[in-house]
Amino acid sequence: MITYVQYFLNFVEIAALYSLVACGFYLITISTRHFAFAAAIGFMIVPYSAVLPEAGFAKLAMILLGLALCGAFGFIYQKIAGHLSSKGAREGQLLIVSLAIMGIGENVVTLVFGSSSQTLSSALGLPSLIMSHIHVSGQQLTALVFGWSILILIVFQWRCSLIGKILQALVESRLNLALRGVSVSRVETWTAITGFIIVGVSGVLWAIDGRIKPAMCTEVGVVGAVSFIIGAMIKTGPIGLIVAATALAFGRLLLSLTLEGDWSMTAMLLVLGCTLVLKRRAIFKVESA
Amino acid sequence: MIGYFVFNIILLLQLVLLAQTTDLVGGYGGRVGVASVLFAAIGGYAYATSTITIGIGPWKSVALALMATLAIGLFIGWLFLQLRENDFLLATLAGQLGFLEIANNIRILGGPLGIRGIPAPTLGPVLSDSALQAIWLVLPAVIICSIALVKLFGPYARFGSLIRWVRDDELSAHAFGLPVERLQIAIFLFLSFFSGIVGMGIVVAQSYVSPNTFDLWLSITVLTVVYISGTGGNPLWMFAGATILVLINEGLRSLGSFPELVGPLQQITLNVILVAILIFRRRGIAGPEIEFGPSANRLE
Repeated sequence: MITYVQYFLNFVEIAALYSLVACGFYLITISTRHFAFAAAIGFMIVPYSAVLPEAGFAKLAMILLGLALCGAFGFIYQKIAGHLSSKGAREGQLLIVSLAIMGIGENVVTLVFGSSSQTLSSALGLPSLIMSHIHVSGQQLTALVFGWSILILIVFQWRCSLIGKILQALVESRLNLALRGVSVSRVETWTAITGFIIVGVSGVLWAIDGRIKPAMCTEVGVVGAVSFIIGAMIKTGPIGLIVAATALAFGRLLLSLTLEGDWSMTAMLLVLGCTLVLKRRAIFKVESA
Repeated sequence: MIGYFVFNIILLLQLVLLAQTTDLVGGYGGRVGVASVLFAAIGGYAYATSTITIGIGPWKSVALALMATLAIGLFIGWLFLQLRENDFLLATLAGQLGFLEIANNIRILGGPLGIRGIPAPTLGPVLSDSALQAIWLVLPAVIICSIALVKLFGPYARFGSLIRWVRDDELSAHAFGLPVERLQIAIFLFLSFFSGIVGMGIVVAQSYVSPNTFDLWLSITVLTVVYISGTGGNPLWMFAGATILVLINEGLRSLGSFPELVGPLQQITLNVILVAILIFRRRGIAGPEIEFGPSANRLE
């Protein structure tokens, strides 16, 4: 029983982190108009910024600095994508640029920190929670509470606030948005910055309760892309993304319990391939400039 | 010294062949993807499994691997060629990574440790190192592929004109009664056949195969060669792109005192080159300015 509860907690935690990745990836993709695999760099920047300081305030300060770096990277990336779009680059070429930038980020991290995994578990000295033999570590509690709180905030903002309405308009029609007097380029820039910061938050939460390594970049990109495609079929916006990411987390848990080896990527990639082929009409079409 | 030289020639020829086939479906067919690396992986693994796990002789294994590659190519081509642009690239990427994950988890394919001691098919003069025998597999393939592409896609070639027509305006090609699907499947089978040979060449040259042999890094390398050389242009320019890349890689390898830096530095350099080309000179060295004609798709 206790084991199953622990599995459930792990599932809920991974679902939250995948959902954050999916939301960040979604924001970057709608602002840059292509599947932005480079979002995975945001996942690396924040945790690796905070790896060096021992613990305490310095580590927290470095996490905040990492988030700022994430935002800055989002700004630069959006400008590069905008420049390429304005010069008539095709969607496939933008996607290749995105993959190449992801490769650069992954290898820079490998060069500086090595390819072995790192953790930020000492960043927060939170006590563990013990409820009738069920042990929840402070790190896991942090990831769960922060992760789901941010997701609820994102859903609320998307549905009720002006920012959410503007983002919905950005997805539907840029022209319409511009005709209403909104500066589309500014909205796109801030959307990309926010997207990178959200992916960065998921990275730091992952590193607090687990370990990250540079090779995770591809997995993060695939989680974002698969959630983006499947989420759009369920419901436009964060609700669809969260449902899709939760389904991926469930699939990962199920495969890890039933099969020997790590099949999580295989499941995601097979789902992606099947979805692309079978349901391509339902896929949100990224506008070409 | 001769061994080192031949090994680099093999590497160069493998890159040329993968780039030519990628550009055939991407530059000429209008579907940029990493299908060539996927089929190289399928060909390489099929050959390795056939020779080591099942114990069939090298030449019979070559034939078996090519048949397997063509059969899978027919199915995947039929499935993936319905997709366009982003979707095709994503699907081929998913196919490549998915296949490698399967290879990573299935024992018969060697798992993460891979398959070792893969024999080389003997043909032509025997070289000092059996791994160098791969040149007799790759060299004829490059010659045949280059001649075929030049003949089929030359300025006055009918086949090339039809493929370009489909690329530029698929709807009007359909309207004029062109067998669009069959043309696309034909070039996809061409890609799978020659990519399968490259895959076998790679595993024979290394006498070893593992999921890392055909990873994302190889896909990026092939795309870099394609974009350096110029996509949709003369296929012989792929030799120039591949030569530049091999020289850069060997130059970076000379950082012998810091071996742990070589791999990441090579990958960073290649990715930076790819991004720079796509930002500043998308035509590469000799790619044509592809003008898409008036399209019924756009008029809709």
